[in-house]
Amino acid sequence: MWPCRSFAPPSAPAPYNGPVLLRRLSLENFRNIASLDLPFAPGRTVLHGRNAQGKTNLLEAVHLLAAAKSIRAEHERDLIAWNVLAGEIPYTRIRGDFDRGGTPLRLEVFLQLEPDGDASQDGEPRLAKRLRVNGAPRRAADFVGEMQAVLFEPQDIELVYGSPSSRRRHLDMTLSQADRPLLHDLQRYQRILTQRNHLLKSLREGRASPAELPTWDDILIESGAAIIAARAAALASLDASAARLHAQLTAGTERLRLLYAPSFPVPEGGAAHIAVAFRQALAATAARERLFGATIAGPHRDDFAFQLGGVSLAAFGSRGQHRLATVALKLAEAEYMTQRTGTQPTLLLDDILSELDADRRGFLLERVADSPQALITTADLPSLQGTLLRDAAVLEIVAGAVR
Amino acid sequence: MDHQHAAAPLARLIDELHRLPGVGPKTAQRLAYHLVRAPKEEVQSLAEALSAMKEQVFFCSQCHNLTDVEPCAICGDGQRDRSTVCVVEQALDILALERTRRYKGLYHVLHGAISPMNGVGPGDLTIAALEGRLRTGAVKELILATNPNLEGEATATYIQRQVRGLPVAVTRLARGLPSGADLEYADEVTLARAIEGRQVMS
Repeated sequence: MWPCRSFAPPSAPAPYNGPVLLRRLSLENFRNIASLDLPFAPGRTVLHGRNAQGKTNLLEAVHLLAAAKSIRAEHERDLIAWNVLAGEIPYTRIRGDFDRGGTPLRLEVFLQLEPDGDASQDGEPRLAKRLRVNGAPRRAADFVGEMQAVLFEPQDIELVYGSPSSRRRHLDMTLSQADRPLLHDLQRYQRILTQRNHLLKSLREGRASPAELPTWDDILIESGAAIIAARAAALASLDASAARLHAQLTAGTERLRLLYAPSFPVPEGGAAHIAVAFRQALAATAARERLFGATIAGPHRDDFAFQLGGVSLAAFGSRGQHRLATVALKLAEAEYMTQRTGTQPTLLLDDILSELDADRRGFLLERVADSPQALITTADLPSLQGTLLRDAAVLEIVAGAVR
Repeated sequence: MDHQHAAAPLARLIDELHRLPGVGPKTAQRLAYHLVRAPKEEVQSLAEALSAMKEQVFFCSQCHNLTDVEPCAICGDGQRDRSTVCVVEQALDILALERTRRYKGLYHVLHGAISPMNGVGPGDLTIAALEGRLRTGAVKELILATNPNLEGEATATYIQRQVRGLPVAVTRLARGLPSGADLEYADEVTLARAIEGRQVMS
């Protein structure tokens, strides 16, 4: 009774601590890019061009190869170029050829609107996503993190004051690249949560017996405690790195903190202790769970907060402070990935340099210079002259094509 | 699905086929049009097979397996070890386990797994009947062979909780590496489970 898997067995990642370098990127029908096949060199590549030409889309495509899902698309069908959506079989293909210490690595993401007309529940055509590594199909949990990337973009500052769910999504996408068991736990937890919430609704409506609940409590607690332990450890590491980087970035005296804000008090001492606290939290929220028909405590309600000098940045920070805090967070994420996997991630800087003054830009570019590969977009190429980017490869993007 | 252009009896058949698991609207149409063109004897034979199946196959009163004799061939086999009961989700799972020729005990078919999402609770399964079998005291070991997915695990956990206090040893099928596979190709989750479930070599 082995789980029936129609997938080729994923090759185990051999211990390899060098960089995974993008050598070629091929796109078909990706947002505004009809077709593109572009070689890349190690080191720094600057993509310049006026706004709305497709620079951001290129970076988004590379990030998609690392994370298997779009950093922002709520509806992934939006990744498919709008002008082929009405076509025979609307699809988009993103393919990256990488050099992994002399071994070629090909990552592919293929999205297609199902032509069969079998609609999903909400009446939208079903979107099929296929992931391949070196031509072999993979599940997302066996694809994410084959190559790692950190994307810096202007809307990063929304992380500071945006919704807890956007922070969770960001944290999960980042940590998963360096921690596949966590991704597996997250997917499993989500399924358990869905089942348990259905059960709570049935209990409310008298269609189920309370005797069914302890089973789901056990499974939820076991899975959730592992996630909370992983997030607590990762945030402690990100907090330390971001504080140091932020101090260097601002030459300031106020300490930046990234504070884990779980849905119930989480004790020290690993998953076993967290499981005990989780069980208490479920007991404490049991009455409200019945009322709402939903699970109230657990990692699906986790959050993290930015503080500067002991004060909430979301409530009191300026736009400039938000910017520097998120740049520090992103750099800390790159350090986290490097520490955990030994491989430095590809840095993707989307129009971020223009958001920083000369000193801060210089600091960020030094970091970029230390990374094995970085893709940088700008609408203002002259502003980069005289910086560390003068020896970068320069490509101009016009209307979704490279000039 | 809209079959306004299909003749009424054909449209009815398409609807009936579409209700079967794994059959989408396109497949239902294809099967229906295939049957229209098939020889009359072939179609009649299929119809007879369907009604004979429905008339003659029922659930064994002991293990709830599908059978045409009472008790079923396995429960009625005097050679089998009556102190061991293996719990499976579907009758099909028995065929898989029987092919191993390793298992000599009895079975119990749940006919599903707990899934609140799909409205399947313990009361929809044959768990009460299983508890009845255990209370006779004849069963010494209960092997939980539900699927190694979330719903199967939840079902196993539920049964384990229910039979606590009864004098029966509860075991779960081992999870880990498929035989004939290379270690280097195993995914992290399977390999982690295999490490957790490692055994002393005797």
